[in-house]
Amino acid sequence: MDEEEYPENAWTYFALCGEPTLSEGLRFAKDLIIANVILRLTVQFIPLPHNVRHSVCMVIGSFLLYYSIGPAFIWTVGLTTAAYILLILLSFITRKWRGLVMSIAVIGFLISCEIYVLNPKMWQQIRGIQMIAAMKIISVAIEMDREIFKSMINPVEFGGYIFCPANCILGPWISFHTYSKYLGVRFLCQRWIKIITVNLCMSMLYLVLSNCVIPWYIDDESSKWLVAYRDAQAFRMSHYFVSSLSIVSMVSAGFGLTNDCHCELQVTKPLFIELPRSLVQVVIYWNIPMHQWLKNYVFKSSQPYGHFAAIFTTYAVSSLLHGVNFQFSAVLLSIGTFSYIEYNLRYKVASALEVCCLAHPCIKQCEHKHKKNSVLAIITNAVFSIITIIHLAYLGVMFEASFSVQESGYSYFHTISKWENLNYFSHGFAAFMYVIYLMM
Amino acid sequence: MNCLWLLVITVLCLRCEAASKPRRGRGSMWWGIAKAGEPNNLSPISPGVLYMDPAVHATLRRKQRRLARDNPGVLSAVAKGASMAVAECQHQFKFRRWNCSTRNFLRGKNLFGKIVDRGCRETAFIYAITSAGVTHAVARACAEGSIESCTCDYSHIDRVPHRTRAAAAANVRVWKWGGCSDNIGFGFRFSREFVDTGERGKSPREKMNLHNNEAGRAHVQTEMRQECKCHGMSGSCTVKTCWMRLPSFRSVGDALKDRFDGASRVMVSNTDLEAPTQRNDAAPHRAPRRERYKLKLQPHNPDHKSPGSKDLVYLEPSPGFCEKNPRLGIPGTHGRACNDTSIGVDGCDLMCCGRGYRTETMFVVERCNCTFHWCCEVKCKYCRTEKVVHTCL
Repeated sequence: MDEEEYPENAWTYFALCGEPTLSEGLRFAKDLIIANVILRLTVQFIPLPHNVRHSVCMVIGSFLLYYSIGPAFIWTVGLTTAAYILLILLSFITRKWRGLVMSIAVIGFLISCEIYVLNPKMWQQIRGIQMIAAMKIISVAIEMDREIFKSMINPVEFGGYIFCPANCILGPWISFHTYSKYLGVRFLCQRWIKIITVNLCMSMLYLVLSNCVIPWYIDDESSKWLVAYRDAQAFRMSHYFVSSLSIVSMVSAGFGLTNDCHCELQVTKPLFIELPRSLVQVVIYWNIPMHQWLKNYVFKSSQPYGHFAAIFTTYAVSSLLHGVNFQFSAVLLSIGTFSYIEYNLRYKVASALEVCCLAHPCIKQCEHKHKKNSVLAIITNAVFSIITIIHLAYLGVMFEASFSVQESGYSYFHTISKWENLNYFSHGFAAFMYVIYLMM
Repeated sequence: MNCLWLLVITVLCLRCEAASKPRRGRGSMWWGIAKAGEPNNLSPISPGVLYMDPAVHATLRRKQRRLARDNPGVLSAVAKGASMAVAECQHQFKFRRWNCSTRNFLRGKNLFGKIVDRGCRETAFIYAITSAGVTHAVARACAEGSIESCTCDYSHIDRVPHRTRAAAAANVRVWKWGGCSDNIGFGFRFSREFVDTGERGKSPREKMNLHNNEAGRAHVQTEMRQECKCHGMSGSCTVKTCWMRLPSFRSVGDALKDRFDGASRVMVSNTDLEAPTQRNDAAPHRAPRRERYKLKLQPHNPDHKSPGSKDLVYLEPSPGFCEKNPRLGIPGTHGRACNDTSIGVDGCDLMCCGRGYRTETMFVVERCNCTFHWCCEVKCKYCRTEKVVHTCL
């Protein structure tokens, strides 16, 4: 009698995992799409005054938010109200420091929510939503300092912007003026439905890949690096799922469409992350709107205080937006250091070997002797790509955890044990690369 | 023509057997369905037309036939479950004196032989594993969509608003179930209906059967794992997707084997022994549904604690399996292979019950030194290896 008598056949496995996964994913997507399509149709076919349009947006968004997160909804409302009141009060005092004070206040609010008020489960559930709201609030405050607003933003506009159903749950962040423009634009075409469908299918594909396919195609007993790669990839797929679903919600509200009805939104670029050129590019393409936000509002605002200060502030803000969590701080700090080392090393290697192998691909014609299609360039870039893939596996493995951990947050020990299992390889390797860099 | 006659005779025999011996393993004739796919027994058939076959039908009771008719496609799942159970039983007992042997030709006899007549441990295991097999196979077929009547149980979706509201009060959100995660529920209910027909739960033996059937199902159900995953911005938990994962049947078999080793012997109190005769006259129908699975089984040794819902129970000690015993349908361990270095049950001392064993050296031609060639070919050499085989006298 054989040991393999009833092999778990792949199809059965997909039926048992894929079907409920898809149905839950679609049910969530259904709520998003319905709310947003209602918004779009209202704005499209009923001529409404400016403020009414924003309040429709706010009301639909609040319903959607309440429907999907339940009573935790009050925390978002609280954050928004408090932020608006503070913004008004600050406007009487100063016209220059609103951005800074608001940022500190909002981040302080998030942190105190996490530490003192909410239970971890609920916090994990609403963290993403609070993050998006915080980013929106900070961007409004900073834009006011920069005097991009002609007049003081009124509460309806502010509420509509924060609670906009198109991006209040999954993002992506858009600026107030983009939001206002999209809400005012009136056009619909048949491609609209097509774009929604395509993105919805993509997101469901990523969801099934993340839940069912990727955990299955590499066995648990394989070498630990393969397992780490698998877990990190499952996490990345989950991110692509969220990103493409966020595009679905944006597009179904009619947001992010160009005049000739093409989607101009891009949240993430899976191909550039799965087959990365460099870690720097991964950081950029991971969440493009978030990257723009950090660059625009944090990095540029702090640039006057020196390059290092700007980098440090950007890191601190992006880390604190995720809450006080060792894991995120550690992962973000590691990414920052690794990509800094990589960037500099590649610069030196490129000038030493005269190869096009910078962290960013050359825009037009690079000045190096070996162009990007030369054998040397391809080999060097491939080596750096492989190093990046290893770094990504090392960093992403953190997010694989038992469900209870996922649900209630990652602890210090979880992070350390995961990295210990991989012998802190990437940290060691980055240090090694730094030594080479110094010696070159 | 001959075949047809043979069939008719088989059918008749099966029927008279089933009718003439009501007390023995009443609900257990359906096990024969495990052999339904094998060509040398009943007629060769494809799974799709299984329910048409008269020989298969003959092994079923009236209620089981009705269930099969009402749920098209379920019968092939039951057949698959039964053969899975037989294979698992034989795997688990490969190295035991009793090796879960089955008959090749049923002719109205029980698939596992007369051992089923005794209320011993082995019987307990057979009942549990077959009931688990049906639960498992039906749940899986349900998930695969090959049983038409097995729609998802949508009752839980209707309940959701209340539950959410109640949970909202407790500040904990209940996540809605999606998809056909409830397949196991169908498997479980179907198994109860199908496997437990004929066990009215009156006589001690029927209670034992019911308890063991339930234990088998409970193992499938509790080994089932709910897996969930969070999705959301940067690892938060905005969307949560969950699904159920059926255990591999091997793990169910392993768990049941553990319970077999620690099975508890029960006795049925005197009042229970007398009760069937009295009640049978007054109320011939079975006990009400709710009470049906509330079996009060007392341990044989009063110092032991009473068996739990996942324990296997038996009524009488097992017979010796050493010698051939036609009365109990025991083939004996003559000619069984054994392991001369082991001191366990598979060792030659115990397996052959002290009769001694014969050692033979055989030359076997096997494939060896297999290498994988890209892509996709496996090339092997043939080697002649010497094998030492011990068989009991």
